[in-house]
Order: sequence, then C-alpha cells, then structure tokens
Amino acid sequence: MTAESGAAEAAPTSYRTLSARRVTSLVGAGVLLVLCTLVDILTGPAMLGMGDVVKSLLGAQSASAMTNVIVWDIRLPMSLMAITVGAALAIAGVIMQTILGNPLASPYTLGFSAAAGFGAAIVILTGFTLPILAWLTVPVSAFAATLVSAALVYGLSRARGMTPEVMILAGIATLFLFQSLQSMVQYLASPEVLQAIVFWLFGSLLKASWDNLPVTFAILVFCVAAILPDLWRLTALRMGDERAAAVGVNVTRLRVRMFVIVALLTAGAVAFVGTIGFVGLVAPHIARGFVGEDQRALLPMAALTGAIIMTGASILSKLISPGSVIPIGIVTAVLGVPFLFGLIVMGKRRYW
Amino acid sequence: MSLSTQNLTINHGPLTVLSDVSLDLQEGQVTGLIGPNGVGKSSLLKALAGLAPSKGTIAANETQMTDAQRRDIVAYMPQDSSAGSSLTLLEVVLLGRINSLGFRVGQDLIDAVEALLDDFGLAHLSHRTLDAVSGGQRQLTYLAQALFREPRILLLDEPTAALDLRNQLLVFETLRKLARDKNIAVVVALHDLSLTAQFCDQVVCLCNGRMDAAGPPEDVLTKDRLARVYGIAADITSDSEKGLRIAALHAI
Repeated sequence: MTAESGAAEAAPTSYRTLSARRVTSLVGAGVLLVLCTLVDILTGPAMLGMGDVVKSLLGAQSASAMTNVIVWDIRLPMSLMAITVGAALAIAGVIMQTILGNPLASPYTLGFSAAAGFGAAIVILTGFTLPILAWLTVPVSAFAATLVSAALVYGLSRARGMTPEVMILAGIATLFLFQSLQSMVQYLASPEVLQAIVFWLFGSLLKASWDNLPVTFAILVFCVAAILPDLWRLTALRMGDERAAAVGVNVTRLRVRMFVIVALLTAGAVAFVGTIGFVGLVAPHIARGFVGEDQRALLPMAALTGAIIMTGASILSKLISPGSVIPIGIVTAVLGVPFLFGLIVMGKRRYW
Repeated sequence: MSLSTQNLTINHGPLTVLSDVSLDLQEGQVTGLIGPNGVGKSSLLKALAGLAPSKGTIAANETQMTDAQRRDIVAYMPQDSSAGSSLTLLEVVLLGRINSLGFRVGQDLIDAVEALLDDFGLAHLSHRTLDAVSGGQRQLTYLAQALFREPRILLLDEPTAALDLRNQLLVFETLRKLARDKNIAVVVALHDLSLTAQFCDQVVCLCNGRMDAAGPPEDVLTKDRLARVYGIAADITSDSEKGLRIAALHAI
C-alpha cells in the first residue's frame, strides 16, 4: 500500500481546494452577473446618458421624470426578469438533465414550451379574455397549457414505470401534439393575429413589468425551496437508477417530484415572456464545467450562468439594431452557442 | 447481524426465478453465492436488500423485517460498474451515507472517505471523475461506497469481476476481516470457485430455480455437484495447509 499512499500526497487537489475553487467560481459568476446587470440597465433604445441612469437608480432628486420612468418602470423590471427567467430555465435544465440522465435534455424536451406556445396562441386567436385581470389571460393560458402537457407526459409515462426512456418518448409525443395544434392555430389566424402569436413565441423581455415579475420570482423561490432537500439525492441519481436505489434513494418518487417542479419552473418562466430557447440547455453544461456534478454547487452555478446568459443576451438584443429591441429569444442561442463550443473545445475535464 | 429467509420466492413478471429458498446467513461470516448465469443470484441479492419484491419471509436477527426496514441496515452493491459518470470517486463514496448528509460536509467525513479510498489504493484518484478511471477502479469505488454505509449486512454482486488478481485477494481479505471484526453478515455472488473455496465460510449453490445446497465449501463444492450444476469436470484437491483447491478442467 505504500506506493499508493505516497501518490496520495501528490494528489492534484484536496477537498478543501476543490471547495475553494467552487466558491471562487460562484463568487466570480455573481460579480459578473452584477456587472452585466448594470450594463443592461445602462443600455436601451432611449439612449439615456450614463450619469442620468445612475442618478435615477440612486434616487437622486435631480433625475428627470422621464428618465425615472424609463429606468424604474421599463429597464429595471426587464433586467430583473432576465435574471429570474435565466435562473429558472437553467435550474429546470439541470434537473431535467439529471432526472432524464441525458445531456440533450432541457426544460423544453418534454414539450412544455410547445404547450405554452399553444396556450398563448389559442387565446390570442380567439380573443378570449379573463373576466378579471384581463392582462393575465395569455400568461394564465400558457401556464395552464404547460401544466396540461406535464400531466399528459406524467400520465403516459406512469403506465410504464417512469423510466427516462418512457418519459422522453411520452414527452416527444406531447411536443409534436402541441406543435401541430399550435401550427393549426397559426394557420387559422388572420395576418394581424398571426403576427401577435409569432411575436409571443419569439420570447421578449419587453413584456416584463412590476406586475408579472413578482409572480415569476415567487414561483422560482418556491421551486428552489422544494428542490433543496433533494440535492444529495439528485447528485446520487447521476450514478444511475440502480445504484441510487442501492444507497437508499426512492428513484421513481424523486423523478416524479422533480418533474412536477420542472413543469412549474418552466411554466412560470415562459408564461409572461414567451419561450426563450437554449438557456436551459447550455447553462447547466457551462456550470458543470466549472463546479462539477455536486448539485450543492451545480444548482446555484447554473442559476447564475443562466442569469448571465439572459442578461448578456438582453444587452446584445438592444445593441444589434440601435433604437429597437430584438426579441431576446432570438439572441440567446447566438450568445449561448459560442460559450458551449468554447467549453467543449477547451475543457480538460469531461463533464458529461 | 444474521439474515434468514423462509420459503422465499422471486418472480419476474409471470416468470418464477427462484422458489422456496430458505437460507441462514450467519453474522461474522462470508457467504459465497454461486450458480450458473441467469440462475437468479442477482435477483436473490436484490430481494434480500429490499430492492425487489419477493414472497416468503426475510428476517434479520430473527425479527421479520419489511423491505423498507431492511434497506436501512443493508448495503447492496449492484453488479454492473461499466457506466461511467462525472461524479468524482470521493463524491460516490460520500453518497453511501446519503441519508445523513447535510448541506455542509464536515472534514471528518471527508477524511473517513479518503481513508477508505486509501485502503483500496485509490486515494490519489479521489477527485478524478468515475469516467476517467478504469473499470476495476470503479468497482473498488463502489465497494468502498458500500462499506462506507457501515451496514450490518453486506450484499455484493460480483465485486471482483473487473479486478486484477491482487485486488481480488485484497477485496476478499478485506471482506473476511470486516465480517469478523464488525460481526456483519457478508454475502458475495461470484463465479470464481477457487476464491469461493478459499475465502467463504459458507457456500450457497443455486441451480434450476432452487437452492441446491448450502454449507461449508468442502461439502458444497463437490465434483458431482459442479458437474451437475455447471457442467464442468473439476479437479478438487484438499490439504490441511492450503485448504480446498478447485481447478476446472473441461466442459462436459
């Protein structure tokens, strides 16, 4: 045994340095997010001066009323919504990849986004509005459709024991069903209505406001709180079902619980701002490359990464064509793909 | 802790894998579970571990226990260790005590994991990921995980299948010592009859959906039985110094 013991002293890293590295990654990502958020608030089609924005943010008396409205009622909710949605989609992505044991899984794998799109499209087409809180009609319909698709996937997979394979198959079937329904709605729609539907499907932070931000944020907080007790069990699931069961994890129950949480998180994220692709797929991989598989570090790191990607995409969406804001759903992939490629090419550690 | 079964029957859907298995697994002893491929060794271990349904009774220390109760005192190591994962070796072993892990993991726990990894010559790989080490090293890691659970009953499915000769001996020496020192019952499904003869206090032989024999190696590992159960002609020698030796000669 002496040879091995000697080698132990030359170990590449100790648990302490590993933990320190994880904390450094988290703090670094946090700082980067704060910087991105500041830049995000400073940019916009209104071309406000940097000094004016800062003055308004600090609540100075000298800030003009118009600047205050732009900063406080438009830009701040948009920035905070970007952070909330990015974090929610990234967390949903981590959980989905974990419970399905598949690196290609994302919050949308099981048809949730197609369902949300259908839910939004059908009320835009019919012009139906809720008797009270009419502005909530589209989000509520999108939210409800997402939960319906989740129930459908759950019902289909339950019959065969909730294995990842069955869930993915049921999810793909659900995805195609809602995509077709959505296409049918679009086909039936008049050009103006079609435009409204397509604009919703793009996903845009312009829909963010102080009214809907708290809803999305509350759903995020609730879901994170519901995930926390299962962090170790989620980590154990990465050993595979049989080995997770062998150390005492009730794999099926964990999978069902997490599936419900992902459905909620995704519905909360897309209901107001529309479907925003790629963040939920890419952010978990980037985070995994930095902190590894331990969900205690992976989950917050993914949340920060998702928020950074969303905020970065938000900045970019305002810079691409000055004076206007490109829907962020179009930009996220453009920004996320190079990140992922860089990680695949440069990463020394195999992280999936 | 001892473990016993009465008329245990295990079904896979409509298929009966094993029926009427009545076993007595003594604490402080290593029991070898042998039998041809597909006879139901893994199914029996899973049922004992409380991870697969079975009919009949299973009792620990003569008290009948439900599947859920057994899961807390048993450590079970599944057979296949081929699948890699991006978990580190240290994380895998740590997960053995998943039910008592808090958000913060104390240094004492980390030290205990590293000591265990060191026992199997893996300390220098603690922070490597599972898919970056060899199949044998993965197998040792999962064995360390099972030991880290500090079980009263240890059930291992072919723990030495991917190991070199030295590590095979190391594992069985460790298991025997563990059984004696901690007074736990160790059950090992395996195919190597020489290791079985050398290290097991008791041998349980399964054949054709039933328990064919159970007892000390010299009683169970006979020329006739090996011919009947496995279809091999074996040369069995025994002397007081080296114990039972088995050399399989050819298929019959």
